Amino acid sequence: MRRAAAFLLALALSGLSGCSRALLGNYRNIEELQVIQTLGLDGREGGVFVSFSTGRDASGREVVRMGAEGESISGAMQALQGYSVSGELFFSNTGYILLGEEAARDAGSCLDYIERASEIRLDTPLFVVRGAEAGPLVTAGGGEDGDITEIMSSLERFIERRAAGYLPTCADIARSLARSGAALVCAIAPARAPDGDYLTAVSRGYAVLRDGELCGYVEGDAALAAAAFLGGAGEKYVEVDGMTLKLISCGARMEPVWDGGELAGLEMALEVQASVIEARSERDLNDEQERSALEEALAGTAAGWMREVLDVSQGTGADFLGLGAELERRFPARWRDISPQWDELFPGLEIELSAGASVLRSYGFDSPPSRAGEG
Amino acid sequence: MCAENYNSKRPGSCALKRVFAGCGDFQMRAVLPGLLPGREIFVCWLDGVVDGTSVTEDILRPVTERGRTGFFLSAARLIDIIERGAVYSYTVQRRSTLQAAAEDIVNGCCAVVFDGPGEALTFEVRTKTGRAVSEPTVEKSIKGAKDAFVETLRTNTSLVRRKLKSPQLKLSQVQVGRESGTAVAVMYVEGIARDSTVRELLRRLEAIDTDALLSAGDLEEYISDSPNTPFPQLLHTERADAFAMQLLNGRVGVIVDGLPLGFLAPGCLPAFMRVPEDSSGHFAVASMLLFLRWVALGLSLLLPAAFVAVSMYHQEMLPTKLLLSMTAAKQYVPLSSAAEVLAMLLSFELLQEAGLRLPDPVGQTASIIGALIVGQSAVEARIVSPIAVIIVALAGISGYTMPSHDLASAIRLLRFLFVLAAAALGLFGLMAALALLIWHLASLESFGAPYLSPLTDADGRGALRALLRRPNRCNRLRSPVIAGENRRRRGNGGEK
Repeated sequence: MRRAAAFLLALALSGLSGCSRALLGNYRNIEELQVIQTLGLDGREGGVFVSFSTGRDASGREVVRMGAEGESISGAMQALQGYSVSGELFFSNTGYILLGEEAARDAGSCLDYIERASEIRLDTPLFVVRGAEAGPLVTAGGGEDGDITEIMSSLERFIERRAAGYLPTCADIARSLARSGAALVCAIAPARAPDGDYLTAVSRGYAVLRDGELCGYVEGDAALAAAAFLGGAGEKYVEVDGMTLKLISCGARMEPVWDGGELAGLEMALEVQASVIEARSERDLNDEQERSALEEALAGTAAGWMREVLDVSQGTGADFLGLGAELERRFPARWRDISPQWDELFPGLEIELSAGASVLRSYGFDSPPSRAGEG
Repeated sequence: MCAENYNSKRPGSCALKRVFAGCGDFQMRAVLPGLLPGREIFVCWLDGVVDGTSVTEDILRPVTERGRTGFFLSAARLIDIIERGAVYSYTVQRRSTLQAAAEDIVNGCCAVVFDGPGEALTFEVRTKTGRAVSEPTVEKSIKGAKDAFVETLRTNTSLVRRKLKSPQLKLSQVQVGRESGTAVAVMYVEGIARDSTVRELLRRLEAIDTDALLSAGDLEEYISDSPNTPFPQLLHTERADAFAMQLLNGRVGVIVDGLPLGFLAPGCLPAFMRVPEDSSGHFAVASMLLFLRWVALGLSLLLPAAFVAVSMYHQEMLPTKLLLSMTAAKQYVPLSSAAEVLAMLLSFELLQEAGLRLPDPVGQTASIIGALIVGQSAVEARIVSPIAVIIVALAGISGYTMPSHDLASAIRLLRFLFVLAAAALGLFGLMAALALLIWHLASLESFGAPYLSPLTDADGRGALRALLRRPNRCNRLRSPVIAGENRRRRGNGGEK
C-alpha cells in the first residue's frame, strides 16, 4: 500500500515537471493527416521549389498536389503547410523523392536536409528527373485520373524486376557519398503517355553524383553492369544476335593487380547467366558451337556494358562503383598508402575487363519447333 | 446452527433441542433399546441431510431389536455395545460435548444421545443425493477423462484417489466457516509436494476466520499471497485428471465441499496458460497452441493500446497503405482513436456481462443484437471506425483463448489502463505501463514460488519450458521451485 501511495505521489509530482506538457498535448488525429507520398525538390533562382502529391486512399478523397517556393526546403514546406486546407501535411510516409536536374546539381544539400529531417525516412528511394524539373511531374503526373505516386510505384517495380535492378535509397546514396565520394541515383525522364494525354515518367539509367553534385549519367543497358556491381541486376530482357534473352543473374567482381607494393591496375570480371525467351533467328542450341557462339556474343555485350560504366566512372572521376572502398575493405594496410592519391590515380587506372556468359535454359529452343521433325 | 454457547456442555436431549430450536428439519425420536421399558435413549438427525432408510435400517432397527443390546445393562455398557458394533453404520464417533454432537448432526450424522452419562454416539448416514459425476462443462475434454468434480467433497476426493492409487497421496481435512462449517480437503503426494507448501496452505486455511466459505473467490482471497492483485494465484480445474496431473507436478490441491472445483497451489502465470488437453495431443501441436495462447495474451492486452498509441502519436510506424486505409476509415468519425477504443471496449464488456446474466437463449440473442448494433450500426453511422471495431473484437477474441477465466478477467481490466496510458503518452506510456506490469508480476509470489516461474528460472531455459510443451521423454524432472524432494519423474528418462 505504501509503495502504491509512493507511486501515485510520484505520478502526481511528474505533473509539475516539463514532461507534463507532453501529456495528451502532442497527439495528431490520424484522419486529419495529409499523407504525402511523392515529394519533388527543384532548384530555383535563390531558393527551392518543393512540390508534393498525396496518396489516394479508399475514402475517395481527391489527391492533393501542391507546390511552393521558399528560400530553403524547410521554408517551402512551411509555406505548403499554410496553403493546406484539409489537414496536417505528413511527410513521414513519403514513398518517393524526386530531384529536378537543377536541384540534383546541388544534391548534397538536399540529401543533407533529408538526413536531418526526422519526418522523412532514409529508406525512401531518390530519383533524378533528367533534363527537367520535378515540380511539373509531381503536380501534373498521371493526369486527372492518376497521380505521380501510382506512376512511381509501377516504375519502382519495373526498375527492380525488369530494368537495371538496383534502386538506391537516400541512405544508400548518402552512404556511398560518404564512403567513395560518389553515388548512383536512379534517373527518370518525363514523357507523354502513348495512350493518353498525360504526363508520365520513364526510367533513364542512373545519374552520377560526385561530391554531392550531378556529374553525368549511366545510360541504357550499361546500367545493368553498374547494378551488377552494386547489388544485383534485374531480370532485364536483352537482344543478342537475333535472340531475346532474360537475364537470370549478373554478378561482377574485382581483383587488384599489384606491382610490388603498388597498385598496377584492376581486373574486373562480369558473369552473366541468361535464358532464351524469344528467337527471331532459328538456332539449334543443342549444337555446342551455336550455343557457345550465343554465349560469347552475350559475354561480349556484357563486357561492352561494363566498359561503358567504367568509362563514365573514370571519365568523371566518380568512383560510384566503390572500387576504392572495396580495396580498403580487402587490403586495409595497402589502402593506407593508396588512399591519399586515389582521386588522381583512379581516372587513369588500367582496368582489364573480362566477361563470361552462360545460357542456362532455352525453353524448347534447343530444338526449334520448325526443326522438330527433322530428327 | 444456534448461536448458543455450548462448547463445554455435555450432550443431552434437552440441550440438543435447545440448540436446534427453530430448526424445523431437526428430528428427535425417543426409543427404547431392545424395546425394554425404563431406559430411554434419543435418536436425533436433520431431515433431508441424512438418508432415512439408513437411519431406519442401520440405527433404529438394531438399537430396538429385542435381545441385541442385552438386558439391564448400565448406560455406559450400552454405549460401549452400540459403539462396538450393535449398530451397523460404518462410522461411529463418541461425543461427550454438545458442540461436537451438534456439528456431527449438521454434517449428516445421526446422533444417539444418552441423557444419563451425557454422551452421544454419532453415525454417518449422510444422504447420497447430489449431482452425479458428469462431463466437464468448461474444460472440455476431447481425448482426456470425462469425469469432472461435483459439489460433494468425498466424491471429489474419491475421483482423485482413483487417478492416483498410491498411499503417498495424502489428504488432510479442515473445517472452515463459523456458520457454514465447510469441509476443506488438502491433497498432496508426499515427497513430490513441498512440505513447506503443505504446511503453509494448512496454516492459511486454519487461519480463515469467516462466517462461511461458499464461493471460490472467498477461498482464493483468504489463502492467496497477494489478494490485491487481479492476477489469479491459485490454479483451479473441474477435471479430476488435470488435478491429479498437477499433484504429480508437486502442487498441493484444495477441494472445498460444495464447490465443483479443485484448487491448486502454487499458481504461476505460465501454468494458467496451459490446458489439460495439452498433454493429450502431440507435443508439436500442443506447443503451437500454447505459443498461440501466449500471442493471444499479448494481443488481448496490448493491441487496443498499441492501436491508440500508433494512431494518435506514431503514425509514421504504419506502412503507407495501412496508414491510408486507416485514414480513410477514420474520415468523419467524431471520436478520437482513444475515445472510440474505450467506448468499444466498454460496449464489449457490457455485451459480455449481459450475455452472462441472461438465460442462454436470450443471452445469445442479446449478443447478436448487441454485436449488430454496436458493431455494424456504429460503423455505418460513422460513430466508430471499422478498424477500431476490428481491433477491439480481435483483442476480445484473443482474450477468450485464455484457459483461465480469472487471468482473462485480469487482462480485461488492465486493457483499459493500458489504453489510457497509450492515450496519454503514446508508445512511451504503453511501454511504461508494460514495465510496471512486469515489475508487478515479478514481485508476486505464490506459496514461495515466483509468479513468473519458469520464465524466470535461473537455468535460462525457463522460457522454452513456458512457451513450449516438451515431449514427455524429455520432461524428466519436476520444477525445482514447485516440487519437493522427489523431482525425478522417471528412472531412465522414459526411453524405449
